Amino acid sequence: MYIQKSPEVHDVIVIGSGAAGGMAAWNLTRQGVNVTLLDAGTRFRKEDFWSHVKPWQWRERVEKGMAPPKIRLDEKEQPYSWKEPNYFELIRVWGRGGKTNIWGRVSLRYSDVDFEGPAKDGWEIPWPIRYKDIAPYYDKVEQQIGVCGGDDDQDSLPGSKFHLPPPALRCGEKFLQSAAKRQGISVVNVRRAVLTKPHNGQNPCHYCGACGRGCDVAAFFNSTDYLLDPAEKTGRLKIIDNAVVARILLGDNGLATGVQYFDRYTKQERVIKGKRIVLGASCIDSTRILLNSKSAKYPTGIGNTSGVIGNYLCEQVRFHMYGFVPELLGTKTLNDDGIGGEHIYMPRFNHRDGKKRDYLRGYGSQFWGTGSQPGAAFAKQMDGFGLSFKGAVKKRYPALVAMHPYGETLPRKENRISVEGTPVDRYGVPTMRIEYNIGDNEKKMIAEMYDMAEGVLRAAKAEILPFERGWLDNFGSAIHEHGTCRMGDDPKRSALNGFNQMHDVKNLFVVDGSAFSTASEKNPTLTILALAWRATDNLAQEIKRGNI
Amino acid sequence: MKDRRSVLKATAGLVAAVPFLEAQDHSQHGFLQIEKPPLKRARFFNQQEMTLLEQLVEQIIPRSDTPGAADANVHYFVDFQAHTNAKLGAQIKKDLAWVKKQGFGKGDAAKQVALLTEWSKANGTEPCRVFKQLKDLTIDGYYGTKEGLTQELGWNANTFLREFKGCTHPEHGA
Repeated sequence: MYIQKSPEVHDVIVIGSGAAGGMAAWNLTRQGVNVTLLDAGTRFRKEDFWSHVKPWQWRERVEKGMAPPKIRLDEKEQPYSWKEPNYFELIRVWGRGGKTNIWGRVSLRYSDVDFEGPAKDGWEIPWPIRYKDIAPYYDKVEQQIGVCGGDDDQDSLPGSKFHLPPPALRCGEKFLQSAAKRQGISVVNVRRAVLTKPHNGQNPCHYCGACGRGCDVAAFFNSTDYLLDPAEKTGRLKIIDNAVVARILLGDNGLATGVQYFDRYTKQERVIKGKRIVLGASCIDSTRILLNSKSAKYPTGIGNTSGVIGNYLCEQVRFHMYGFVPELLGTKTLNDDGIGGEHIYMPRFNHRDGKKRDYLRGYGSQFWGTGSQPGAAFAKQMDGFGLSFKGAVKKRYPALVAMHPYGETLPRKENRISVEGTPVDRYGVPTMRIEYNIGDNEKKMIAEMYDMAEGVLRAAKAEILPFERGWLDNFGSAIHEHGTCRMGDDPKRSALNGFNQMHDVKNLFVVDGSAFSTASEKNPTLTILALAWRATDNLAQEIKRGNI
Repeated sequence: MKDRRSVLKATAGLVAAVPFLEAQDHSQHGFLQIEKPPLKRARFFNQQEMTLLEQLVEQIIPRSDTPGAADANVHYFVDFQAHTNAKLGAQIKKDLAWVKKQGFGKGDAAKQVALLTEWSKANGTEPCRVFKQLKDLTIDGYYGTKEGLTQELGWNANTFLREFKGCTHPEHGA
């Protein structure tokens, strides 16, 4: 087959347009560096989002054969597999902005409780950075994208100085906050990248609550509006659409020389050359690309002398528990949409309550789904039918409260992504296989998470909906994949240094969640943005110095 | 970029129009007179099956001072689910044949309630599975309709607000 090769050698090739790739492109172009970005899709049109389509209108449209914009990648288009019986739910967005189009927006800084955890407990490698190294970048990111929240810092949740005003709490959230306090657990204002007032020229939230369908006024951070559009205005960013990257190419000098990709629809193979490559295609897809980039020097994937690439996949464990607060039973239904999702957050506390644990690391909790929702799925867990059932549902509807504890999983070598012996995709490139499981550490933590959630709901005197202790949501459902190309000081046990630069291949940087040394219990996007900013600051400086 | 003011201005007309249309609709009926939405066309089930489905969903969520599941055309929702999911459709078709054999369709309201009660309490049995599946579909269907969500539950969200006030009850002050 004829392969289109571009003679141009690009200054920097960025792979991926989500939080990681978008930040890399924005930060480099504003510093005078020319960037060519490969995006696996195209731009999503905000006017196409079904953000303000009511549930019944949605049905009517679907029945007429209409469909909302296809934001999530269809698994049929890009298959992957998992090791039975452990299904791994993989949610990917191929298109401008990636998952930031529909992300949960929870923006929590890691603290030294997270960064120092592995060094203290000795499980796997330590982080090569501490909070002080990344704090200035958290400051910059929060000022750039806008994060609302309170001023209620804790040792496990620092850095509130640049927050926009927090959203008001819903009734149910007040009861949960109060109940948790009676249990000795602090519940703070949530920190989310939603604009509760105009910020940097972007529109504020209008509280329609449909963020998961895409925001039609860009009132929460998405990589397209907040990073890539400004980057394009510099005239130094070129974006190539529908470029599904297969491999990073290696030169005889041991440096990356370019990227092989396929046009998503024509399947035409293309190669572009670059002096430096920044990989930010999300943890799982970046890992697929690295592992498929085999050469004589790196037979198990580019830069994989350490053998860690693909291994140590971490994704948080979580479950859901629901109840009804007695004081809200039968009350008037309110518009509880707010900024979509919860307005409160329970930071990790298990490191400072004085109790001895038989497990490592910790957990926090989210509370989305509290208050009136566009549906009443909870009714499926209620007995009965008929008029009494209908009345019971109505009575409980305004009183719904929800808890969603998230727990850290330890990095383990056997939790891994591989491309050996897997079927090939439509471009002839090996697909991914994901092997994932949890161990005793997580099981012990989950038992405590159940005790905590039940304890808080009981303290609220809530009628708790039936639950099966120990039940977990699908692996992968948190959409917080980390660790498969981890950073560390020891090149024998890590693939990247503390600036996301490959130990082996000095002109290759990996800036998404795969670079994390551990997963924490927190949502990673804010940290991905901060690390990508820091990494590309370093890259820009090194380019200016002529070192890369 | 559209600023907030222009967005609000553009949508103000829509927001204002909705109550007017609703007022027109609701002026036509009172407690016992429920105006049914336009007739729909079944895509999967035959007429007999649709009649049976209509009876089932209405017994699960009946009309009260607000519309019931049949008023809200939930049986057509179930039909559409069956139409778009062959496996589910085949299963429900089979289940409806079984329900028919139990005399549900020809029974009076008391008989229908008795049968549903019996099935709902027979945990772990096939009748209970049939009941649970129909109940779950009815819940999904009804509480996603305008009748179920707004008239019954009072939901009035997914709209434009200048400010989100949250809980304003001093007694919830925590």
